[in-house]
Amino acid sequence: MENQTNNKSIIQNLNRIEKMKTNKTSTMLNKTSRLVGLFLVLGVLMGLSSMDVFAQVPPANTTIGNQASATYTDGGGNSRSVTSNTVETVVQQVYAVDISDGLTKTVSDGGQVQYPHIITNNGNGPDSFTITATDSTGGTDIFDFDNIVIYPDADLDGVPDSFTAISTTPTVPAGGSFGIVIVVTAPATEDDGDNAILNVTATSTGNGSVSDSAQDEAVIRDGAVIDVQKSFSKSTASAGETIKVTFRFSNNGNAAATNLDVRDPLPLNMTYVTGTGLWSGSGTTLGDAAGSGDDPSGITYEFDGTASQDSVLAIIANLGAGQSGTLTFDVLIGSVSGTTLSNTAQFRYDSETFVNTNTAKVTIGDSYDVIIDPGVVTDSPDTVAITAKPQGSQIEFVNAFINNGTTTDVFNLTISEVVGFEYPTGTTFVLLKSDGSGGALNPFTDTNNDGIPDTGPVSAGGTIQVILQVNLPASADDSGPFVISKTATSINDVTKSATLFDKLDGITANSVDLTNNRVAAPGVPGFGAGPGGVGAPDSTISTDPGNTVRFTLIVNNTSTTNSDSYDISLNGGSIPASWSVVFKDPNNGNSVITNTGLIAASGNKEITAEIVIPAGFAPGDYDALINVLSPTSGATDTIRDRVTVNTDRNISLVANQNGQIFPGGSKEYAHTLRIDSNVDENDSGTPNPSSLRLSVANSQANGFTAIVYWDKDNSGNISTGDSVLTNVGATAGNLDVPSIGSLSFGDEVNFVIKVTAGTGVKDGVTNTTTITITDNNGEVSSVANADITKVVAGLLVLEKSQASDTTGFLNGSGTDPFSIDPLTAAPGDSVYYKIVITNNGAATVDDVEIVDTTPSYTVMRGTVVVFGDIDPGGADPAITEPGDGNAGAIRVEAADLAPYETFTIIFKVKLNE
Amino acid sequence: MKNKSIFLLIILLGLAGQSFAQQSNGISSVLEVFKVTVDADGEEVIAETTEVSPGDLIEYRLTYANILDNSITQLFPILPIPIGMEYQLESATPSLEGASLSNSGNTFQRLPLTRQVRQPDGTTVEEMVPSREYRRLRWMVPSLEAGEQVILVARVKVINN
Repeated sequence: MENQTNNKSIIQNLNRIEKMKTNKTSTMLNKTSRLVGLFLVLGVLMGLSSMDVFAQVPPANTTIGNQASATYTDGGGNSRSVTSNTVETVVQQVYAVDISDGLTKTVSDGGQVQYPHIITNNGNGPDSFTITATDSTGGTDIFDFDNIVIYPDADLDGVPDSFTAISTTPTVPAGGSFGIVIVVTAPATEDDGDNAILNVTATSTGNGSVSDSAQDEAVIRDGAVIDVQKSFSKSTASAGETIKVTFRFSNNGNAAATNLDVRDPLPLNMTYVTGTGLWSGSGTTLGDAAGSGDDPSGITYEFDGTASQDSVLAIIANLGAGQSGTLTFDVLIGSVSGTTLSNTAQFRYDSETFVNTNTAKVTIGDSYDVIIDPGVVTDSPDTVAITAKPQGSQIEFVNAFINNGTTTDVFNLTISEVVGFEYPTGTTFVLLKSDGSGGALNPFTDTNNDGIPDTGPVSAGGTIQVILQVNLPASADDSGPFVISKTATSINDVTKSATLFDKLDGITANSVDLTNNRVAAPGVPGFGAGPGGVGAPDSTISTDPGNTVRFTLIVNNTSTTNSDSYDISLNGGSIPASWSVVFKDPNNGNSVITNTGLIAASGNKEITAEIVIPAGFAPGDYDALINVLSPTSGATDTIRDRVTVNTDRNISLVANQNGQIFPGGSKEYAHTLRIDSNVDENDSGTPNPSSLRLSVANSQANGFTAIVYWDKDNSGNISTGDSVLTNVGATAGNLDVPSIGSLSFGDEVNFVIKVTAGTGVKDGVTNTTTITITDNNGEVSSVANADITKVVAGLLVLEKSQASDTTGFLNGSGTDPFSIDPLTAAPGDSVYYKIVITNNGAATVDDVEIVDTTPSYTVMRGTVVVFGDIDPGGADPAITEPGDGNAGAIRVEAADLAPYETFTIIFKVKLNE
Repeated sequence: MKNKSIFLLIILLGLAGQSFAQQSNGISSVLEVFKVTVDADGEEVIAETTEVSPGDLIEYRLTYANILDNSITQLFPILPIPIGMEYQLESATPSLEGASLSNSGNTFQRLPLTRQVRQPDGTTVEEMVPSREYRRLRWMVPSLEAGEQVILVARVKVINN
């Protein structure tokens, strides 16, 4: 459109230059001035050819779409891309109009003159224009026309299409033109040289304030009045087509004209066809050579192809009043489609000055076509193939289409799945522009508002690379192949399209290998390398119950391209529910994890599987099927690790004890047998069963007895129902433990041993009673306890009691206030303690020493009081005490204490405030 | 050849609907269009618009938000200048990292864009490239922390001459 407009204005400017020259100097159009003009034309046209098509005013109602894109690097170091939403703005219509310059023509009195004009819509949308043609009222001309009529000239040939007058053009597309011919009639009474001016105005109907005007002029001539109309046989021609150029000339004056000189400089892209010149005045072809030697009589015809601009030159020697005729020749239209060629000739007669003819226009029509660029095809038919890619991959198919039309075209881009070869569900497709060398850029947008993304303008013969970006879903893998078609369709001729197919051979699955202890690598596979979990254990750890075992796991991301993360879990096997299995990250403080986090392609991560075996758990093999599974890609592997729990046989007996008895007295010792084995003991059903026996023996051969009771009610004492198991002197091992029956881990059996000393046993004799539990089958180690019993003839008994200080330790009523019952005292209160020491034994006790201390949070008050049977002879005992107000030990020493003698210690403490 | 025939038949039968999907990948990218006018007091008025006329001043506003759990780095937003639009020099905020005269390609140059023009005497001079010829703008955001967003602005004029 811009080319056309500028072309036209250039030629119009050229015409103006020539018109000025003719008006001022009346010189002939010589070759020098022609050359200058041609340089001007060439210079500007060359400039035009490099102008960016994108710099044009956007047409009304065009939707300008835009979409941003960006690349970035994610936390994993992967390069990612993102595209924005598409924004669309609709261009509103603006209005502008241009009317071609006016012409000056001669006319006879009463004669008619035709003024062709071309009205061009310079707005950005379709518009129509009202046209007015009125006599000038400014007083600068001599006369007014008798009649003014406007006729349509849609084919721009300078001749009215019909004689139906119009005042408004039809709708003219943006950049388009519409011709009019204004026919005026001069009055019959004007003098030679009188003139009239016609003001012509075209006004936009879309915006009444937008208009353009031109002035036409008529000058009365008494002599010859020649009018020359130039036209093309077509207003639209195809590139390479031959069209006919016609000059219609007529002498509407009252005298013959001589030397009608017509000069037609041909525009670029219009090539003269030699030997095609014809004149109505003769039936023979005109000669193209200079001079009249090769021409019929009455005309001198020449094609001048030697100058920078080709020209057709013709001089008709004589044209009588009322005569008319035609001159024609053919031209070949060039290949610059979409261009409008404008052509204005000049003529003169009777040696007057040159004037312009009307401007004829022909538009080089466009053809539209699109083909695939065979250079991108790798496979038949018309297919761009890519070998298998990892799941989740972003693939870019580089396609290319060629604009095989004659002009810039826009191609809609569509894609369609091919039935039977559909890409996996979740695949997304984006059509991206190319950097010209296969690099993807922004997405294609819809530039023509038809709802379909398109290439935007592609110049004739140009190649447009179209990249189909395929984003495979992370979760899908398949053998393929997958095919999608991509079609480019001309928006100007929807019957023209080309289709390429994008084929992906398959999707390679992500993979993971879970191994023990070592990274999986070619030649040095870790334990459990490769898919597994179903065969023999990859690693085995043997341990006793109650222990914790740890397997070192290596999660190997064996994918070569994709990073991935994996959930790790126990997934089957025979690990009992009561066991604890957790996975820990040894490189992150042994934190408990359930997912590995992202592992780079070909990378690995160490994990510890920690398995806690409960104490006493039965022996055996327990398999853990440990599984890693990518929630993203589905890649998975399982390893089988085994825990072998050893058989652990162990029993215990508690506890060794000491006791004192009188001669003739007895004492009971409680003992507990505990089963710590992880198999049942004393059970004939257990492999290698044990058979427990209990025996008891005293270290003193005489004077002591020991009897073992089964403390059935677990009271810790001998009570009714407890049965005698054995006694000293019985056959060893005759304790009938089997009658107790099977004993499992944690079971306890209580026994009570009653040891009795004979009355004749002397003071100070010690007896050790040994209780032994033995496995009669030798499977379990024996256990034993020893109870040491000492016979003491003298036996001190201490009784401590307390009293409040409210009444003193001997109150007025003479009753003893001391009691062993709990006593309540407030801070600041005082408490009395009384200790009564009595010898309940049969012999005198020597060197009696009693030690007590002030309780915590108390201090002593006063002094210690001691009274009673204090030997020797009532002498004062040796007393050590902390003293009034102090805390500490109270020590009382007496020399000896005979049987049944007693003495009493009393002291007072005060609770701290 | 047999396979080819079958393949073609399937293609002819299988013209399913097209589908285009916008990528996300945890980075949201929102583009908005505003029209810039001046009111009677000479104050700029900016309003979101879907309609423009030749000569209008338009502001493209591009917002990237990181909705991932991790930060990203080296964010290179690219804003095309559509057909019919002319970039207004110095209007981009933050400053552009580069611009390109091509709709395609990875060649971005620092602003202002210049080119060598051969003179009639054979010498070359460096000339500024008219902003009308700018086809793409590029920014560089060094990093975007999780939860952060960045807004990029550039103004264009709808060509009217």
